[in-house]
Amino acid sequence: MYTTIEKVILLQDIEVFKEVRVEDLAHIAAITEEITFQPQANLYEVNDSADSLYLVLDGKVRLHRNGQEISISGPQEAFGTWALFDNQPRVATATALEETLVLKISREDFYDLLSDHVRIAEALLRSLARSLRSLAERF
Amino acid sequence: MRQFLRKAVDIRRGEGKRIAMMAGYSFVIIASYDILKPMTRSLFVSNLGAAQLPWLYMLVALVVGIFVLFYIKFSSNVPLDRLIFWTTLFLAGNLLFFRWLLNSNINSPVLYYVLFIWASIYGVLTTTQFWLLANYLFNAREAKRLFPLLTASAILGGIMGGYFTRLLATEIGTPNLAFICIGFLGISLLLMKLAWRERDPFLETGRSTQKPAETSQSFKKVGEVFLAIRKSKHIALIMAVVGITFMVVQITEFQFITYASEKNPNTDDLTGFLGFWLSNLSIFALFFQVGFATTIIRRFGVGVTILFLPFALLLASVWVFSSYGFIAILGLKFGDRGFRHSINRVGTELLYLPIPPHLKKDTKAFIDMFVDRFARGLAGLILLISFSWIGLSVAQISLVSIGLIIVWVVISFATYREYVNSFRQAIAKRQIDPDLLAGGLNDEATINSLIISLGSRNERQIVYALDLLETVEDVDLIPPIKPLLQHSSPEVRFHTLQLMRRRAETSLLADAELLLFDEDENVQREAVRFYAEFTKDSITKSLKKWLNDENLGLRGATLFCLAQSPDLSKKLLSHELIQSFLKGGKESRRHAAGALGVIKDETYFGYLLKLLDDPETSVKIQAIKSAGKIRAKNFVPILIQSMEYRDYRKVSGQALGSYGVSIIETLASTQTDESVPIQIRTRIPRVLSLIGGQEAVDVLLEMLPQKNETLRYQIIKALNKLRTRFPELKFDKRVDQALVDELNTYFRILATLHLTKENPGENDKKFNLLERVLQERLDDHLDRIFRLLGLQYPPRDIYNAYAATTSENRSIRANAVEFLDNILSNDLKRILLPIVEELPTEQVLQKADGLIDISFSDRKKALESLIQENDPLLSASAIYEIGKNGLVEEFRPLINDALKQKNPLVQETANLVLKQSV
Repeated sequence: MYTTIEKVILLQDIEVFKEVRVEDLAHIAAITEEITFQPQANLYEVNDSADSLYLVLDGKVRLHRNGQEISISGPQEAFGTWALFDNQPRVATATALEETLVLKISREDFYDLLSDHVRIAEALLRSLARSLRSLAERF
Repeated sequence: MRQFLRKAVDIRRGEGKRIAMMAGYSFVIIASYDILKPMTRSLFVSNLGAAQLPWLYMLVALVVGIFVLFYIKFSSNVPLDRLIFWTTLFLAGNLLFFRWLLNSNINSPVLYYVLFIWASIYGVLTTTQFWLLANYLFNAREAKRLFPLLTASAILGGIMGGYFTRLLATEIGTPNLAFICIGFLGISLLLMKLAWRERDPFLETGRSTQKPAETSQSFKKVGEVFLAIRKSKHIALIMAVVGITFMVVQITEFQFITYASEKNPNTDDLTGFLGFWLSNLSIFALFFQVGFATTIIRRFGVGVTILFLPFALLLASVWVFSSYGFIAILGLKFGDRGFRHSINRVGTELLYLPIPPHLKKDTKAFIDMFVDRFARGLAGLILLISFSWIGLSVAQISLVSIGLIIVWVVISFATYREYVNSFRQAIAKRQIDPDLLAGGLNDEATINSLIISLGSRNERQIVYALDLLETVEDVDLIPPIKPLLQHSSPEVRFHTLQLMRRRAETSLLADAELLLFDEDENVQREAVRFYAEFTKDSITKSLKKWLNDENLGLRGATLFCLAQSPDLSKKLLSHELIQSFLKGGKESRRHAAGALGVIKDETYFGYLLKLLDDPETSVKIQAIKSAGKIRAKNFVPILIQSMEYRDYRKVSGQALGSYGVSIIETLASTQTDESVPIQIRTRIPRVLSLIGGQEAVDVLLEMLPQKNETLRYQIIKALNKLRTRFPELKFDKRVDQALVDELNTYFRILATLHLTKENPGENDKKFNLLERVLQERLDDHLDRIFRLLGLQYPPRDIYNAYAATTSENRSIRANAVEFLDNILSNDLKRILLPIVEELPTEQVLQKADGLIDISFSDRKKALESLIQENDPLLSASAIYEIGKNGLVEEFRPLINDALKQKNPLVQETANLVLKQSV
């Protein structure tokens, strides 16, 4: 079992949480769930409703669609981030390549948290605004 | 008679006593002032001569202007009833003193100057305080209906005062008129006390201080008003019109008094003459106001209305110039007195309509208090030059008036053009507050603009136009509003019904009936209410039928409607009826909860108490809202408890806020009780900020020395809100202490951060997480430091300075430093500026050394202090970094102690670090 402070260390590297304060990362850590997947088990499939973000703690996860590999996520890498912000169906299937331990943040718990900690929402907006600005500057 | 009066002036139930007392009050104070005016004028002119009047006008402008500033500053925090009581006694005492001086044969010119200036102050004080009280006792909608009655009784008082003067001046002598004024002041005190008793007890909170404070605030914003004048052509033109009006009026006043003094060399005769003719002219003003003013405004609009006074004065001035005599001079005063207080006043008020409310308040206060006096003073200067120095005769002075009036007319045309433009823009931007349309809308062009707005695609625009149209009289609105009953927006349907009810549009009864089955709850309620008020059938029978209708919405709307009406409640409301609703499903219970919010009968409170515990969220929310309306003490504990849960937090806070100062002590004790869940304690400062007033500030300041940072932040935030909303509130020395505490902690954290970053010889040691937490804590403290500064200095300036200090732009940061350097006290500057300047940390700490207590000097001590910190995250981060950097042995005893800590984060981290070290 990971401690809160270890989860905080891991969460602070996720792009979308870059602007979130450590104190609030501790609150997010409190709603995470550690889940182990056996090799070849699917974490989710294409067109499943997107309801959680995942962070790999140990092991590897392959993201693929129609037999084509999109990416492989290893330890301390997150995937399914946008599931926190919209409820569009998954566009890829996530399959564990080996025994994999992940940290899961469900959208419902996350939204409950946001309503109590408005500072997290502010940080997310800041982060999104920064991304948009850098995108705009690029074009 | 009562029915006739009700019909004529629309006095509603519960308003009778209040309006009677206030009408009496306005009558006696204006009567007393209209005795004093001729009395002081005649004493001055008879003893010193009319040639001294220009000097006097300039002196009055100066002294009264300064007096008003001081009065506002010192009176803003005194409860209104006490303020009026003591001012009235003071004025009565002054009158006795002056009466004694006048009888003591002291024939010093100073006495007559002082007496005249004092009478002007008397006029400002008594009328301002009267209108403050009227604004306190009547809400905006009541004011709209009832203030014309108060104005009429004031005019009647003026007439009566003038005739008293005429009758008694020669009988008892001018100085003895002071006794009549004292008598009137005594009656005014009695009436004020009686009116005060009739106030709504629920409106007690802060209102007595709010109204004068609003005015006081206005003067702090003189700069903003100047800025508004520069930006808005419309405001600048209004100012010019008002200024020139007072200049001309002052000149005509001079001409009238000078003529009167020539014809009446005896003081008592002059007093009687002035009193008699001022009364006669007031009768004309009243007659004109009641008989023609509305029709003229309605028919010709604002444009013609504002030209009445200048044209009347122009004609009279030409007459005075060409054939100087009694009739011509009377014609001049006739123009001034007859039109200025009636049609011209209404026209000028209408010119303010398109100005946004926040700006209007400040601009109006500025114009009423300063432009008026400045213009009169300027008129004094013009008279001094033309009459005393150049030697123009009274008749020739009319030439000056004629010149000024021509400018006045030209400016009036420009103002009207600008008014129409501004009004169109204001309607589009919804800047006009319908509640402030006390005079009503009568201008045809304006009404047409509003009717056109009813066809807008924007539903908010329609709702806004409907609200404004409520003040329109004698216009058939049925054709434009009837189709709106079928509008797709429930909001529009609701406001249309509301307008129909307020205008008593009974011919639309059948159309309203269709809306009884509307899908929107508020529309149904309003439809039932409209039907109940205007149907000719037996309403009891209809309501009984609807209470059993299969449409639950109609049943609920009917219950709400009869609960709201005292007459219908008596006939139909019963415990059985409420119980039948409570036995139903959640919708039925929600309807009951809504209706219970308008039943003031205590025997029904128990049902609401039960519904406050309802398992259904929607029912409980409605019950909380209703509890906020009823404001019974026994709901308070459950409302406080409800703040623990997210769904009810906001609505419970608002409900508690509506209780006002009566629950401040309960809130304070709940906030300091550590056994109360933190979710509740953090919401209490916000509730206190909703309540407002000095009591709320004092309680919040008392709570300020708070260890819990979240709570402290919420307390400071609530104080900031109060400071912004009520700038007149006092924030005492406890803010300084809080500021010192915050700065102390800031420098301690900064020193710790510096020690963890800078480790000569130990560069391999990294404390990333700890550094980040420390930096975040520094940001929090800086935020709180600026928030506390915002309690002592203008909040907006401090906020801008704070935003600038955190800017990435160097020159913006430099400007902020410069600004702070200019406004902060020297002590504060020495401590704070190094933080916001871009100085190296060592220098910042060096500058703080000696001023602030920083008790440790090496990294080990700093880390030890952090482990023992009362901040779990800082403590856990320090322990984690110690473990990560292999320093466990150095700190083992403290980490072992941390294992025993109650906070799971600290305990868990200490455990992890100790395990990893093994």
